[in-house]
Amino acid sequence: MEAQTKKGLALPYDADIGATPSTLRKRIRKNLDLYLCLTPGLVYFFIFCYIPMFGLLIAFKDYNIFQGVLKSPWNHFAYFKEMVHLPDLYKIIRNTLMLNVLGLIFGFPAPIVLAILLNEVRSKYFKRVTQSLLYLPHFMSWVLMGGMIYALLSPKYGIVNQLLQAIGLQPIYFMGENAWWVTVFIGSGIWAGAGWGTIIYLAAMTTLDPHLYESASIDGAGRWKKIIHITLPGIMPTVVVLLILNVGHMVSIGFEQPYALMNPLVMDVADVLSTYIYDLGIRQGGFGLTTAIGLLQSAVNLALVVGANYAANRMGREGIW
Amino acid sequence: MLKRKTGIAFRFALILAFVLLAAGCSSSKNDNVDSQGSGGSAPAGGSSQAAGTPAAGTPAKLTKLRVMIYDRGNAPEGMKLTEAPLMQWAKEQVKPLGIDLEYVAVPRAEAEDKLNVWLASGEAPDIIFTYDTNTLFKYAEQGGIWQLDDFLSQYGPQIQKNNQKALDEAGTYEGKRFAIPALRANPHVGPAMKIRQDWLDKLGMKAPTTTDELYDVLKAFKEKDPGGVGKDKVVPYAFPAIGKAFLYSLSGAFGLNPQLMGNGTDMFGGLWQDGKFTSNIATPNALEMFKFLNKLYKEGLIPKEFGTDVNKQQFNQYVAQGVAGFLEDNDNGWVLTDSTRQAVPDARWMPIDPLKTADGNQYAGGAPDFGMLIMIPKASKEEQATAAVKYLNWMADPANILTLQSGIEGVHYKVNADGTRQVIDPEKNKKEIDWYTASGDLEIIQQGQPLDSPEKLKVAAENAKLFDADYYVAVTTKYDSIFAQYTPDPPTVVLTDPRPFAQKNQETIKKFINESITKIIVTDDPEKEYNAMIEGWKKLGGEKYDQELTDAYNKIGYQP
Repeated sequence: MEAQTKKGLALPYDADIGATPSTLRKRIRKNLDLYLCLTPGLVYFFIFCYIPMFGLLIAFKDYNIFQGVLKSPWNHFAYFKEMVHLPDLYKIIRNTLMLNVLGLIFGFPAPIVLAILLNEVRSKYFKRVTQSLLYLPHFMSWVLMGGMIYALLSPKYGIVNQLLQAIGLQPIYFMGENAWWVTVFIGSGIWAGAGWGTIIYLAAMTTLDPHLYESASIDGAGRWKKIIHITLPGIMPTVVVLLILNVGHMVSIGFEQPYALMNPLVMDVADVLSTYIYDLGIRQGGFGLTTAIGLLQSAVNLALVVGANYAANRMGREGIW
Repeated sequence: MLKRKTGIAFRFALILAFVLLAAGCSSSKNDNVDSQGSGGSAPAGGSSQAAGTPAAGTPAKLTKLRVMIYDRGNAPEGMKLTEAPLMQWAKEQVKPLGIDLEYVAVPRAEAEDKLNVWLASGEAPDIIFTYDTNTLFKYAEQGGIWQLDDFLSQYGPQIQKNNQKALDEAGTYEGKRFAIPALRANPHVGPAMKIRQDWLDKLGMKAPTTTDELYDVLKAFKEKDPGGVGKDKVVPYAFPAIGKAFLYSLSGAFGLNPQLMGNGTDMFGGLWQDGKFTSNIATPNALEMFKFLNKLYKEGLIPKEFGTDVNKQQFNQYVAQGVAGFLEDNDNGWVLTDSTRQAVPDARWMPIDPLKTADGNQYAGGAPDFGMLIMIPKASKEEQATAAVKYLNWMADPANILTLQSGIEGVHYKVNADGTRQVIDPEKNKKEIDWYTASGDLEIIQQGQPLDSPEKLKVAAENAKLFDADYYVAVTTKYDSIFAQYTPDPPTVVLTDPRPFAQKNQETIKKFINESITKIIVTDDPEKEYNAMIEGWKKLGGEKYDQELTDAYNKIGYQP
């Protein structure tokens, strides 16, 4: 309970979870307004997360699009057996993990650093404008960004390569070479997401007690010391929660970014689970097989999130639960 | 996770819509004969019959009929494809037949993918179509589309009359009719090589007849820069990403006969050798072709960035800027010139004869007499299926064909005393009809019109106020002659059996091949990459794929 309030998560409970039904009813009556606030969220999850789970059935069926989910015959885990023999699956999973791990290493600290920097900005006006500008890339479609990135990095016409040539370097085919492509992928991911990611950290920083900073100043601490000893420890619970959630997504990857950036030259590193499922499932009509892959992916994600939470708890930090 | 998935699925649609709108009209591989081939905006001359007039009485109860239509993302400002003038006209015309017509636009390049999604969700329009025979077989086999024999004999007399040739050649599965194939009125269409004739003339060179000569011409384009566009800017051979690039004529030049590629999914076709089918890529001729492309790439004769030009954006730009000298696509050259002349008024693209193979043969990949395969999903009720056939029957009327292909008499064209048709206001037509009639997207039961004589073509071009009537005649007749002369007979071999392995794996194999070819072209050691491709191709079941095709060809008694 205490931990929850510390993290700023207001929950409509005023007692422990393992309560008897009669006290539960009492509690609901007492906090009716709060429960009502919760309802839309529950309805949302029910409609968009639980009802579609019915569709998971097709991972176990010889799915015929015209017969529908229920009438298609069971297929005795044929898709799961087939999945193991898919020649590309290993490569796809490797790429997904590689891009995610690199994204985590370089992308996860970025918003934290940015948030600390923003927090130190004195001028309110400047801070507001900077924040708004930083949020902007988050709202841009990846298709648009993909077009811009290709144009900027084009070896013949792109401004980046023209600058390189102006200082006497050879032009680089950024989008056509594996290593550069990965760099661009991670970099553009940070560019798009870092600003938006600062929101939650900035919110966490506002909850820090100003007295701590004041007394640190009196004790002679400079900005750097204050960041190290007050700000960072203060937002650490938030960092841990977000880290756990991120680790939980290690085998999933967004669709838009890789799809907008990939091209035939770099498929060895660019083809990931989401694009593969799109190709195999939607384009080739392999709905059953890709549902099976998606199910497995979810299972691994669940295991990872539970594992990360356990590790966080073991290391003396509060996990999510 | 599931939440994510639903979100992603929904976003797929949006993103794709965006990509495709941005990409505009991009043609996929199996679609090599999609365009009418008549290309330009000149209406075919001939019949002056007035378009059908609406009957007086309208049945009280109308049947809702939803019809798929390709959206090429080229609607002019203020126009909407599904509400464009000819669509409005058609809606009024079919009301007396008891049909409440609605068009459902689908981005062209997304169309094949969309069919799966539509049918799976039961939201498909009542009239859908594909160019892929395998798709037809798959749906027929799974019981997802209406069998049409009875409908056709009862409600489709005009279809049977107009489309007889096409009906004889395609649209059946296990002896039963599941699709009504469109009639391709002029089968002399397909992919062909085009060259900047004005550049050739400036250099005093002749159109290349072999790949060696092609190499020399491209080299000259680069070194002598006949267009004066700047030596570092000139793109001798405009070439988009593999998968978007046409390689038909080029492979023909390396002895890869395009005849065995008409079944939609043959992936660059194949050769019939020693009584069996071999995918083209697995033949020694293919290696020669890839080496040739590799050489062109190394010497800067094809764009360095072709591998990332997956939307053909740069390809189209090269043409529009007038910096490209040679290319292959499925147009007759008119549309290319119309694009290039905005930047270079004197530019003229001309189609060239197929290049000679080492043993002196010439191949062109022409088209069969049938075009798209029109189907009616089982999810549509019998009432809709009836209305669908009635609608197609209405569409097979010669007068209606003409109107749906080139506009309404008195509004878009008038008939002269000598019976020729004259466009009233080209600007009006450009805005109201050309952007969907030129590609034949509305009139799906008959694609194009038979080709007219050069004299008639000239009159039509002049009536349409085209910018260079003589050039129009030259480019149109030359294009036609290529296919009339060099297309093998029959142009394609139509298979009758479904191929389960191909149905399941063709996309994976195709994707793998496309990636591999790209690598072969850009690598320092093409032979090594080629061997890697063949190895990977075998791993994906390439040989099984070929065996299945061998069996299918044997079943219909194919003899080369």
